[in-house]
Amino acid sequence: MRRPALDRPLAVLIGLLLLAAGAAVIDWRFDLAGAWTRLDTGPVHEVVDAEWFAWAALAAAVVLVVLALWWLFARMPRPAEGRVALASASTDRIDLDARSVAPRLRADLERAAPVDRVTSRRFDVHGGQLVVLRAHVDPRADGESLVKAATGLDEAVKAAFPGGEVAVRVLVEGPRRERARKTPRVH
Amino acid sequence: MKVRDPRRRPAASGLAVLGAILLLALAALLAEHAAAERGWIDADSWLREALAALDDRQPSVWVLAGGIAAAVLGLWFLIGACLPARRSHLPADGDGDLWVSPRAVEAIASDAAERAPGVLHAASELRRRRLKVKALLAPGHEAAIADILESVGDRLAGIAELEVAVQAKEGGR
Repeated sequence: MRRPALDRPLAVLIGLLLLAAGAAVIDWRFDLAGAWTRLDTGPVHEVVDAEWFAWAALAAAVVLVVLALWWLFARMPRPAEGRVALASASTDRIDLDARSVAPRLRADLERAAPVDRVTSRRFDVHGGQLVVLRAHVDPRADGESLVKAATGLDEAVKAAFPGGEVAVRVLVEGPRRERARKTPRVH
Repeated sequence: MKVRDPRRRPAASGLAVLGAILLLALAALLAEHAAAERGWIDADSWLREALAALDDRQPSVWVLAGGIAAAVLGLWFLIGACLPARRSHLPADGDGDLWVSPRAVEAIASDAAERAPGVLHAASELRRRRLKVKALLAPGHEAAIADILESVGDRLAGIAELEVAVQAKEGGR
């Protein structure tokens, strides 16, 4: 899931508006600041009664719908580019189909490390693509073999892409069926 | 290539979905007003009814409840928007870009502890940089704690620099 940069500012804005609305209602009920008794609703009614207000409300509704839908859809994952341009000294341009890299890396990781069910996703990052391999650890694994497998993958990718167009990251998650074994082991 | 650390989804991300729904609700209120005023639907304007209620001396119970809920929700939005996204995995040693989740560390540590002599059962819990291993020892194996520490330390070598604490309990005969 992507994280739009506007999430935080818009959340702050909505939070402030909700807080202000809540504070106004509480003041209306308990008369804490006395703002409600000084409130003159006449101008508000005049604006709402105006001929143009219905059209303005409709326009505002359309803008809000577009903003809300954009905000929702902006977090949908965007597929990474299929091709990566390799660094070249000449004027020729060489594009590599990066989709073929991930399955190979998945297979290499499953073979080299004590993990199972490796999945992969590619992300466009500045200057290339990052292949993120996500695997479930075998509880019998040891740190050394995991580090060795990740280092091996990293070296293989760096050798294949010396310009750094593709990088690999390994995320090791907990075991898939951690609670399957309920009987304690007895030595 | 510079890449960010793997992180959990920030609280603001979940609030954004709620915020978008609130915007859609506000849009529905405004659109209903426009439709009612232009005569496109045979209904009174909700917005006009809400404004008419402003002239009351005191809000109704429902309005007051809504106001309190809005204030609480607003505070939640403000706090959530400021919370940073926490790192989801621990960085491992080595040249590779390897990250291990706390659950994976716990599983490896539990398995390592269970394989120490005299341990019947073990469970681990990782909080920040402190790994707590709870072990059930076979009767007469009080010395197994040192073995557990060594076993867990050996297995986790390279993937996490952790402070390991063992809490052992001797099983009944």
